[in-house]
Parts: sequence; C-alpha cells; structure tokens
Amino acid sequence: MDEPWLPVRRLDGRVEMVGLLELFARAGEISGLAETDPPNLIAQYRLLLAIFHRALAQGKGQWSSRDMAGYYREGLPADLIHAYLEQWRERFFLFHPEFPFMQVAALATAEETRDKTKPWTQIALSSSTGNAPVVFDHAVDTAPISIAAPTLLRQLLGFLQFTPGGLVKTLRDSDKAGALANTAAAMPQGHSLAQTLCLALHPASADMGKDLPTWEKGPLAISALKGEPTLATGPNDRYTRLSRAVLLLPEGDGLTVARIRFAAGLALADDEHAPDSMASYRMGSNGLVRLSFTEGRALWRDLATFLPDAGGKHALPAAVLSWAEKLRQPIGQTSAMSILVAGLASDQAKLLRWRAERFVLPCRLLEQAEAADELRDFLRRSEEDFSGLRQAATTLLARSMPDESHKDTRSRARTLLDNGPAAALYFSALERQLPRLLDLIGESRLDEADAHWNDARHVALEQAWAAVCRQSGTTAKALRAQTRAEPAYRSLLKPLRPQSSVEEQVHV
Amino acid sequence: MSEHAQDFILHLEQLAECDRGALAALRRSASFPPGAYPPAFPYVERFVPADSHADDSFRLALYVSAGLFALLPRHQAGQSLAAAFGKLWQHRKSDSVEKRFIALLDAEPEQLPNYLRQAVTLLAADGYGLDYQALLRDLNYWLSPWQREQYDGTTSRDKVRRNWARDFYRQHETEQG
Repeated sequence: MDEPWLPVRRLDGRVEMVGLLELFARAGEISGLAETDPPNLIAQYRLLLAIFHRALAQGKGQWSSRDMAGYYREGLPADLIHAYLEQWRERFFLFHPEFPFMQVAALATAEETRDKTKPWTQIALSSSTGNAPVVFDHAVDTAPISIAAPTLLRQLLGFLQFTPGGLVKTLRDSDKAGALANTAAAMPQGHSLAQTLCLALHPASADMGKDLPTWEKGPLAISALKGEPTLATGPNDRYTRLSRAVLLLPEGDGLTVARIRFAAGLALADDEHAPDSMASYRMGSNGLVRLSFTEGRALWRDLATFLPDAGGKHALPAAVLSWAEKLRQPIGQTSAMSILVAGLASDQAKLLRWRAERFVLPCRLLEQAEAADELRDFLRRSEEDFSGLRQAATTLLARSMPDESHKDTRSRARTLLDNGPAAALYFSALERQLPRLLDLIGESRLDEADAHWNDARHVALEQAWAAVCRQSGTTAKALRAQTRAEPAYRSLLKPLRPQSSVEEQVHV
Repeated sequence: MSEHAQDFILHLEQLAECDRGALAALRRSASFPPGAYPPAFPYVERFVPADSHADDSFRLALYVSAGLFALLPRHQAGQSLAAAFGKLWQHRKSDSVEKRFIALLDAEPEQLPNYLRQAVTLLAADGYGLDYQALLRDLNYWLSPWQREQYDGTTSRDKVRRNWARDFYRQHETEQG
C-alpha cells in the first residue's frame, strides 16, 4: 500500500512508481497508468476501480451521478479512499501469513500443493513456460531467476484477468478462463487518472453489499477451489476474481520471488446476460462475437462496435463506455473522448498477441445513434470494396497460375492473396485517413466526409491492386490475367471518381 | 525522337511508293538478325544516330521496323500492333492467334523479331495496318539491354508488354461490350 509498485505517468510526462495511498492522493496530477503490458494495464485499472467503488460504498453508501460529476471536476474523495485502504491495510500485504494480497494462503498447507512449487514465469503472460514457444524470453523453468515482488504482483493481476482456460492439473484437471480472456477490453480515458477512474466507475446498485472484492472476503479454502464455477456477484468480484490460486514464495531477502505455489482458482462461470463491462461484442454471422485482436483484422475496422446502436442489430458496446457517456452529460463535457482498447488474444491456451490502442471519438459519435450509423455506413462501404477487390484479385491470381482450370487453383490463389501485401496495404491506407473521417462525422460535415472517404478508398484500392499485379508477375499469362481482370477493378473505382475524371484512362 | 521517327516512317512510305527494289531488300532483311543484312543499310543507316554503336537498341529497332514495314507497308496512326492483332483475333475467332500473341509477349529480345515477323505476316494477309511510329518507340524500350527497375519492380520492357496486353485484350472487350 505504501510501497511504490504501480508505474504512473505524471501530467508532465515523467514516469514514476507510486503506492496505492499516494496514487489516490495524487490522482489529479497523474495522467494515467504507465504499465507497458496491455493485459496488466487493464488489470491494474480494474483493481483501482474496485478499490474506488468499495471506498465510496463504505464511506457514502449510495451516490448519484451528480456526486460523481463533482469528483470528476474537483478530484477524488481522497479521505474516503484512504479510510477504506487503512481499514483493510492488512489485506494488502503481499506476504501476509493469512491474507496475502490477491493470493490463496491455504496453498501452503494443502496436501496437493504443499510440496510442489513452480517458477514464477507460470503466472507471467509474457513469459515462455511449460510448452509455450520461446519468442523473446529465454527463461528456463527449472532454474528461475528471481524477480522483484512488486513487479511480479503486476504480472499476477494481468494473469488473473486474462488467463486462458485449460489444463491446470492441480486440484482440478482444467479450469475456466479469466474474466477477460481473449478480449480487447475498452476503457474511457480522462485527462487525469482521477477523471479516468470517475468515467469508468461502475454505478452504485442496491445489492452492492454482496459484490465484494477478493480482499474483503474471508480466506479461501481448498474446497472452494475444487467447487463448481460460480457467477460473479458484480463488477468488484469480476475485477478482482482469483481465477487461479497462487501463492508467492518470498526469497530470503523478502523482496524477491523465484517460485510460487499454483493451483486451480475460483472458477468464473460465464453469464450470457451479464457480459464483462469492458468487453464489446460485434455482430458476427452466428450472433454476437466478443471483440478480440484478430490476425489480419485491425481493430479500427470494428470501431463502430464501441458506439451506441439504437437497433441493437450491429453491436453491443462495453458497458463501461455508456457509464462514461452518462457522466459526461451532467458535466457538460463536449470534447472528443479518448478510448483505450487493450488486451490479449488467445486461441485455447495459446497466447497469440496483445495490443494497446487508443482512439479519439468525437462527442457526436458517442451521443447520437445516427452518427454511429453514419460511421458504420462508411466502414461498411470500405469493407464491401475490399471484398470486391478480393474477388477480382483472386480471379487474377488464379488465371495467372499454371493449370487455371483445376478445382484447387482458386483456393490456392486465395491463399496467395491472403499471404500477400494487398489486404494490409488496403487497410493501412484507409487507416491513415480515419482520424479525419471521424472529425468530419463529428462535425456533421457529411458531404466532406463522403468525399474524403471516397478519395481514401480510391487510393487504397489503387495501392492494393498494384500490389496484386506485382504479385502476379510479368509473364505473358499474368499480363493477360491482369488485363482481363481489369474491368472488375475499374468498376470498383468508377463510383469513387469525381465525375470530371471518369473519362481519363490510366495508361502507364 | 518522335519527329525523327516520323521522318523515318515517311521515308519508308516514300520507298514503298517509288522504290520497289529498296522495299524488297528490306523485306529480305527481316529474315536476318536486325542490322546484319548489308543491302538494307543504305535505307536505314542514315537514320541511326552517329554516336551509337552496332547493337544500340534504337538502331536495332529501326531495322526491325523497316523489315516489318516492308512486309506490311501500311502505316495507320493510332493502331498499335497489339490492337491490330487483337482485331485479327476477334475477326478470325481463332485461339491460335491468342497463343501467338502470348508467345510474342513472352519472347526474349533475340526471339522477338522472329515472332513479330510472323505476326505482321498474318496482319498483312488480312489487310490490317499498324502504327509504325509507336512500334519503333516500343521496340526501342523492349530491345534495350538497360532495363532499369522502377520502384515497384517493373521495367520499361514490362511496361511495353503490359500496354500491349491491354491493347490486345481491349479489342476483345470493345467488340463484346
């Protein structure tokens, strides 16, 4: 609590480490957390939100959006939060014999785990351990190097939220995933950490007394770990759920950790009707799909997922964004809102990639459903262009290959196209023009937005098509295929050209 | 160069009108490697720039064009060889014409005069004319040993080939459309 362990960035840009007490006391001078691992970053925000929420619940009981608007303008109620933290001070000790922070003390005595330890890399998402592939990290499981306890605690928080489900082999064979496994989590961002916490805080509810964070609950018994998955009682429970049971074993100096005890955790059952407040869903072909970081699909293509959708047909934005929007109205905040999207994508137990991205969304997009529909329309058009381009390009490549009439040639051509640069070129060319599009939609200048996006699509199509032509080569067969596929490509460009230049023929 | 090329084509047209012996010599030269048949020298060499060497691509292009012109003495501005060949393909509805064209596109510079001679013989049989100025310009690019690559990996030879492919297949489209 007093020990500095959370990296924060001050408003002047300097990065420093602070403890929880100092962090809440100076939240107005801090621009945000400076954690560099996206999963850990989100997990730390969630920890802070749970503390803030409980402090208000204990200090005030209920609160309204007017109270929250006050905190947003004037700073967090530091005295309430301090009183709360002091009340639970003992539970925040990392190596407490009975209540170690975010850990399970019972592992030290339980028969199944008493004699077994694992290297700390087990709970670090960025480490290679077990059969995960070695990429950057060359740690060896049998000879772990010790790590500073505060650093490991940050890893632990990220791990508990983002751990993928799968084999555990201690207490239970397998275990459920963490609350945010395979999710691109969204967080609204204010100018300071205090504002960010106010924006993202879950609202007060009638049964708040039941929704306790881990440290307020009694010590976890082994029988509870073996039990059936349970639903989260509320955001506080979700944000601090011990999805795996971990106990850090301090080295001799008491400051570093090399080995841990590890077992199945308090499994979290998924409730379809109460999705995680930071997870967004977009409409897939078979119903809603949780937004994650997919290979070959940049997140901005799903940007409309974060926006209100009146019909509920396209997307289910993260609840945390609607809370933020509700708070922005009473304080008369009309500037654009910055959104942090961070997290981890995994396939079964295999971690694939993590990202942290930031989008600045104009106020009009967040408030008006029709503005969101406009953006959706713009994005949809560029997706349609791409599928048209993909079709024409596949035909081109198939025709430039030997044995073009073979039944597999078309699918080989499709693979060739997917492995080539065309898609990346197309979408990165569009992405560069996205901020301007958002601004224009935000200012309701739709004609200009239309012209701007048409230009962007035109350039993107040209670049992608040139790439496909290069990819197909310069044999006579390829040249023939290029010429024959050209009408399909030109028909994509045609509606995007200003009328005056439609007649122009490009002859290289 | 275009003025120079224009003079050259004019000169060839004059030969076609009043010097059948010259045309016969040029026609004969088409069976030899370009610039290697001495009886054709008097009609072509004067258009070769003074400082160019024997294998200069412009010199070769002059000889190839002159030989082809002698086979088909009908200059028709604006109709490239590929376009004329595309029309022939449309008219005859024959796959072998397309195959010949593809072979032509894939030809190495050494084989090119030979393929061109065959193509022009076919065009002559059906009475098509072609733009010899454009042909001279394209051959100059194609036959050049110095093919500098553009930033996107294409060379000037590739560009000529790409234009030829377009001209050829566009005839197909316009006929159908």
